[in-house]
Amino acid sequence: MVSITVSKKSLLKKISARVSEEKLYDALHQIKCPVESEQGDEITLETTADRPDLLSSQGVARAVRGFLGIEKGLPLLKIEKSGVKVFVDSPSLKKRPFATGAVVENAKLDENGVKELFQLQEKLDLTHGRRRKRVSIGLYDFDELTPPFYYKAVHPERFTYIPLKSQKKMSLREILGEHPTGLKYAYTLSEFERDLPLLYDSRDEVLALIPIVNNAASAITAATKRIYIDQTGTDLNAMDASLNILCQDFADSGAKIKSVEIVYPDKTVTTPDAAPEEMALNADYANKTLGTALSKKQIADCLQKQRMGVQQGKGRVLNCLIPRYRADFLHPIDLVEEVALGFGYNDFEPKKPSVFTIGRLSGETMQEEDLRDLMAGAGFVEQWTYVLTSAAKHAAGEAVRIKNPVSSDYNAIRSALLPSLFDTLSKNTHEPYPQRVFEVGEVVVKDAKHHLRAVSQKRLACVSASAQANLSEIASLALRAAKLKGESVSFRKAERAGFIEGRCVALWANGKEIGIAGELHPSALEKMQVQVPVIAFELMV
Amino acid sequence: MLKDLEKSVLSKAQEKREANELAKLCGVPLSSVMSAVESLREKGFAASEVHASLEYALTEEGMEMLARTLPEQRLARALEKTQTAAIQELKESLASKTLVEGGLSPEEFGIALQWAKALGLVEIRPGKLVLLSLSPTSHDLLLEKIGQGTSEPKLSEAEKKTLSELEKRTLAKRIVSKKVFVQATPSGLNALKEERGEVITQLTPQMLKARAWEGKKFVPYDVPALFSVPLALGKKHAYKQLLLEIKQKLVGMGFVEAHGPLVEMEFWNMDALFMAQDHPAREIHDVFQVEDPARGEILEKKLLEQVRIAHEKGLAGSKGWRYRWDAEVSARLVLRSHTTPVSARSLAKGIRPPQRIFCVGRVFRPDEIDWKHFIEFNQCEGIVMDESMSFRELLGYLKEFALEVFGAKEVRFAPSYFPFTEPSVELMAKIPGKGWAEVGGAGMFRPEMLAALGVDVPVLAWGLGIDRLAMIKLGLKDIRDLFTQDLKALRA
Repeated sequence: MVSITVSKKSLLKKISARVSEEKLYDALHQIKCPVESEQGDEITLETTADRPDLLSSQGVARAVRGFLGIEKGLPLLKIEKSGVKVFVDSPSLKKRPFATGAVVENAKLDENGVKELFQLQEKLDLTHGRRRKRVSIGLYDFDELTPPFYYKAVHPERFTYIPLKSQKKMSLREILGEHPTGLKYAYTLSEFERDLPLLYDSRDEVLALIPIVNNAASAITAATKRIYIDQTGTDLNAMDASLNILCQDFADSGAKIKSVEIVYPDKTVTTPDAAPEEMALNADYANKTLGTALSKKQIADCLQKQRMGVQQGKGRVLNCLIPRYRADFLHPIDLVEEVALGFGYNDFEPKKPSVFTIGRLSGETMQEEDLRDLMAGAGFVEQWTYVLTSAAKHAAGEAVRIKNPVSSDYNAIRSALLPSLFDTLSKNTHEPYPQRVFEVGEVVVKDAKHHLRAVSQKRLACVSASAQANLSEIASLALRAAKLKGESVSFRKAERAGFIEGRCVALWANGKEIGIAGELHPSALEKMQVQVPVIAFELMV
Repeated sequence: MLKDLEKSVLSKAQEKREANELAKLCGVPLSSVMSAVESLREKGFAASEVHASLEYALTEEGMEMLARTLPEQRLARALEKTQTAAIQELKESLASKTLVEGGLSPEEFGIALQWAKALGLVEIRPGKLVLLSLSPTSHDLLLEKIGQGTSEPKLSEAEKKTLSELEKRTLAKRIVSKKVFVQATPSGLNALKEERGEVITQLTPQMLKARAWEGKKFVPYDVPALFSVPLALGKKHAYKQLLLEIKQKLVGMGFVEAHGPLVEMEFWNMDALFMAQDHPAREIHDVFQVEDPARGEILEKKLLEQVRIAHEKGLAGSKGWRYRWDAEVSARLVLRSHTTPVSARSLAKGIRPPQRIFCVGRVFRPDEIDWKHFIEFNQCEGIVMDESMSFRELLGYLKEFALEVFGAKEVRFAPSYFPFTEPSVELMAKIPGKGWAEVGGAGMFRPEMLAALGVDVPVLAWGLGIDRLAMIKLGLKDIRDLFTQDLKALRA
């Protein structure tokens, strides 16, 4: 989920004056950008990750106009030539070899417009651009620049400029080492050893250290009329979509879009390419998937409401034209969802389930229920605690550890149930005794022979703390629990850390140890700050 | 059977008595009385309460000063005859005198001068002292009052202030003293009577055999007390019971239960679900990666190839994600971030339609930890596999769940996005007393995912977050309380 904040007044103005607030909010809910909160004129919309074209009020207005039938089908995007060339020195640019761009003329920005433009750029960089790694966008005052432009990795001391959010001239090396934005995005340049990717013009004026920070000299303001949009990145498809999102937004607001020529060593490409993508949709496939009986015309209407172009094809086929600012079409199923959206999710009549199958609980659950009945019947209270735990609560190297924990209290997965039962006793010394507690739950143990190397296991464990606690109290219970599996169980004397010597037994079945039962050693009780005897067992079930 | 001392304590404590007093009455040390009281208390035969009170006492220095007169008073007396004297001369003359003669050491002289002035005994004029008064000061009076040892002197506000000054002078101190009061309970008194053979509280087989009950009075039960005995029963966990109820409802609807591992390979958690390897939901802030062990092994080589093709070139008429798919990334271990890998594993087993499968299990996602978020929660997931499945039927299932499982009165659908379903939908339900709530996400598995897993019929899938629902049903204010270790709450 991505949130954007826009002016309600300006959004309504972009849609058309005659839409009530209620109708607007309902439409927003139906096109994947519901209102999350509002404060005065500012509304915050929450959009889904597949719709970067809804990260601006212009894009939202375009979708709402379609959904409400104010303006359907492909939005207009006329592109003229600007004659601007960008020379790309691909070999020096490693895995970031692509550039695209466009010139915007007659941009009608105001304070709010600039704010929303920067918000769109930032959100696109973050989500669609994968934190600038896949795509990064730069916006410049075109009147401050002198084309052609050059995109090339250069020596880090060769150029200096005053970056945004700074007062002094800095070299590229200084920007990466000192500037806040430089520090934040330095990771995107990890594969550049010495030379750094730079965009500069024919007078050696820097546009930006790519994809880090722009030159303050060509910064955009509310008064900017002509804008240069630059994009660099690793994935041409993704770059294509975001450039079209920006250009379509400007075009919708009445600006003129002009293309630029990207000159690679081996070829020249013109961007933006706004030619809609074609994809065929079979009406029968759509109807079968949705459970509907819509005519080709109805389907076409739904698609047009979603701003698709539709040409009636042969037979049951509709030839769909997908605007280039939509990057999420891989398969006709994606068109089917557009049909559903255009139809309106709440206008479908839910169909009663029709398939017949016989349901059943798993054997694992049935067995768990037997164990829970047994333990509760024996007077034990059930707890159900977190699987996540602190590695410190388990023997060194025993618990499976997490690489990116959010807290040291939860940096591993428990490999046994008893530690959390002991924890419960420690936390409840003020509660009346006897305290008898059990848990049936999952643990994860390392196993080098298993294909996952770490195996999830169901266990049963219990503790009994009372003045009279004695292993004989639970030995028979452990045996009964173990036998619920239907296996023949035997005992062996065992020694385990934390248990009193000579007061600990291991349970065996099928030549394998399946559990342990014993009386806790006073030193273990001291550590737990529990002042009554405690007996415990843990079993694989 | 009561011990002799217990009997003795009980009979002396028919009225409330202080423990020291009881010790005197019984003629034993306090510690013996206290252990008898403790034992009586455990049996419910006696009640005790502790009264803490504030008392005051003189310090050793205070007692010494009480005997020797406070230095400022000694200074004043030295002026009694002459009424006035030069400070330096007075100091020297007092230093040469002995204690008995009312002398002051040079160190004491400073203190004496300070307090004599503060308490209005003398006045300092340039170079000399003038006597103002010889009456006892507030300090003298209080020192004496505390020194007399009245056990709990009632102090006036002015005296309390003086006490603080005496404390500063380390002459007096405050002490908290604890007193234990003991009184026999009605059942204690009965036990006493029973010991004396006057009444019967507990009928025993011996009494029946010997007809010892004849002519005796039975002690009536204390009715309210009968119902106040705490129960130490076994009890099943409330949330687990709720989950069992949900499972049974799903079984009633015809679903078969499945399980899967908590530590899972990215392959099953993501790749097999057609989530591109650079998808933001795969980043470290959205999924817990396992450090040790770090990688598993994908045994299904044919499946692995199909998944690779689905990602790189597309399957079932899809363009695919068009990038180089990395099997190494896919083998990394994570904590499953949803229960969908359980469904994917079920589908990959070559099952034939019709199928309806569900799974309830723990899933893990990095998040803030607060009253409504935790990094580990329970998810309830289900799939329906059949040639006849459609989006409308999916909406039908969601509506049934909302009404049946959540007790909702009304449902609403909103479009949504999940990387492995298309179309995707969010289920909103109107829950009595709570209003509209998002209760789950659902959709139809993407054709690319199904094709890679070898499935050629549509599959509906839904996942419901059930911890929030459980909070509502169990009346909890904090999501962490679902997993509480508070025994009182678990026993309740």
